[in-house]
Amino acid sequence: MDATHAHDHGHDHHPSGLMRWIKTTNHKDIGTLYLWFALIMFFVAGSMAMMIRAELFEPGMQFMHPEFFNQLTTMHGLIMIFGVIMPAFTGFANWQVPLMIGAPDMAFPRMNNWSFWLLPVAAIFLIGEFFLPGGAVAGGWTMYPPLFIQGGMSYDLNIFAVHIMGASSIMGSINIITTILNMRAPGMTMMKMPMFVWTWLITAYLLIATMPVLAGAVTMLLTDRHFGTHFFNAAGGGDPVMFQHIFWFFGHPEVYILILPAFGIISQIIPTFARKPLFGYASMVYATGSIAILSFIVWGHHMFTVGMPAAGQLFFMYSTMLIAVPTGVKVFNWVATMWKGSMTFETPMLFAVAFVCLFTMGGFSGLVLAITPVDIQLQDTYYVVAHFHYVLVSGALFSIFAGAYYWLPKWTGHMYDEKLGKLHFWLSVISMNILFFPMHFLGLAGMPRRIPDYALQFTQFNQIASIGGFIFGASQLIFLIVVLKAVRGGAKATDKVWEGAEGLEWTLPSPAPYHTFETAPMVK
Amino acid sequence: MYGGIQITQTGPVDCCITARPNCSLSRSGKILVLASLFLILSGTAWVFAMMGAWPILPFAGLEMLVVLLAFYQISCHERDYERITIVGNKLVLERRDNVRVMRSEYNRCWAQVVLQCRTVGQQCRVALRTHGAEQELGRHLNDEQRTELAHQLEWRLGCQ
Repeated sequence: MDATHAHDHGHDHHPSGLMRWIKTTNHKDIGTLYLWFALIMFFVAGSMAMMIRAELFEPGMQFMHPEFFNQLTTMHGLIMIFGVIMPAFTGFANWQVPLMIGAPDMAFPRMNNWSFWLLPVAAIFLIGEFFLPGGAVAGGWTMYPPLFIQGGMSYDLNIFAVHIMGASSIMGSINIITTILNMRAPGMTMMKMPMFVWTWLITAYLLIATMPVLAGAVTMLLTDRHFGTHFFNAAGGGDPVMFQHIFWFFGHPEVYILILPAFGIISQIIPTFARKPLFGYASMVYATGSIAILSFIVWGHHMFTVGMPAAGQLFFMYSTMLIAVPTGVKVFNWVATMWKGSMTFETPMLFAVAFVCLFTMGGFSGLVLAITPVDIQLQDTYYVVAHFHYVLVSGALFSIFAGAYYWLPKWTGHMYDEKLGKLHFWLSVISMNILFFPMHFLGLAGMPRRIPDYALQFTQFNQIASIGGFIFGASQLIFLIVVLKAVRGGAKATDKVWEGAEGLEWTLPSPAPYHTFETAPMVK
Repeated sequence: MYGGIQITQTGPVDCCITARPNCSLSRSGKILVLASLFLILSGTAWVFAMMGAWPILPFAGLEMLVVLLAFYQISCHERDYERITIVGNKLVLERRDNVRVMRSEYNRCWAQVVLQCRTVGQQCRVALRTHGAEQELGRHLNDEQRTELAHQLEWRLGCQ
């Protein structure tokens, strides 16, 4: 009996229209939704930052009431963390993880759809707080009691939004863990996985481990507010400091949740443009794991001024300093990968190099803050603001830009405008330093954070920072233009896009077809 | 357990061809992952509960339940298979999908193998055509393995 051989050049059919985006279970669609959501929220939270910098341009009250200023700083932090950085990385994970491991989709596509569509609901609640009586929450993104127990209706809405975002994160993490562990292509062993996949696997573990702690903490705030409990209410025998312990037990791993995927993106980009394999792949994996484990035992460094025994201070100081070791391994490996590489500096590489330099600076100021007596001096000053913005802007955000430029041709099928990309890079990197570097001096001089007014001697540095902030804010519009241009058209991207790129995603056509790896490829 | 085809020869033509899905997580790996998550979650929740913050416990429990359900769902499908048994003039196609097992019998002499590729060497479809109907085969296999399956069936089917 003969086997019938036929060739049919079928098209890559997929649904269209609005319902495609609402009902989609396709990992690429959901990745795109996450990325657009993050970009929109970036401009929302960025606008708040612009208002903050406008108010701080001069001492005295300029444009707003102090209450509104506090609402802006709180919402800027909450939205940037939960609405921008985390969804953007989840967007990258959705797009890239199945492509990188040779899987047809995520393990639970319908749950993937739910985990995205919970986010806009949470975002509406968060932004909607501004329109409630009393305005949005104003006690800082850390939600410390007693302020958080005493506030108005917006505080309840905020708790609800945090719960929804937590549920979304948990569903996303379970999906990522099961996809990575169970759907790798034959031949792709754990130690052959791309670093981006490794970092997301560890990030998902961190999320699963810490989210119930956050959920429990905000639930206790809610019951303290409305159901007569006294978990954190000192008036009823509760302990507000316990909230800080619980919050930072979640909060410090959260910092690594925000930065580990960034490490993964940078570990993909640097070898591509250095045209060399990643130096010390195994040590990179172990360093990422070590950072994740250490992140659970350092939360006390956020609370040095709260009061704790000397032994506790010493423990948290040394454990925090210990994190510099695996982080140093990573920085060393990135530099060693570039060493004697045949490097070119396209926009993704420029952002990656800036990441290595500037994130390291943020790491160093973190080491300064790890020293207990120094931290007691600098607690709640602009030095801390400078530190975490160097980590989260030139770290997390720059890696998102780097990743977006790197994979945009694969996603859209078009090359982005390299000139505009480079303009975006240079304006961002210069203005970011003008914005945040003077904050170190402000902090060392004693300017406290979260205040709308300040003493006269801080004026010049604040004005420099504000000018940097306005340039940084405006230059992000260039990124929007670059993305829109690439989506609408441009030079056709090749399958491999970058000469030095390695990995399964580059074996696919550009743009990646709607359905990919329906049957697993063999990794040799 | 990596997917693929396993051929057991039981006679000159008679054989048993089994195809399984690709599951990269082993049973021991699954236990390790679940145990580590359970240890971290329960440990954290108990410590905080001892300090008085007991509401973390139900959230940790709920999350563990969701994780367990996800892994249970995966386990349900890792034993899926597709088995073609050829004995004499009989061809038996057996499929397991979660707990459902479907079995159909055909006459070997009347069966025909169909191999269709969208582009040369890519996105191949294998089917068994008999009695005017087609049964798609090899949903757990990649193109290379589907082509091999088609060739294996090709010379074992039909009566000379």
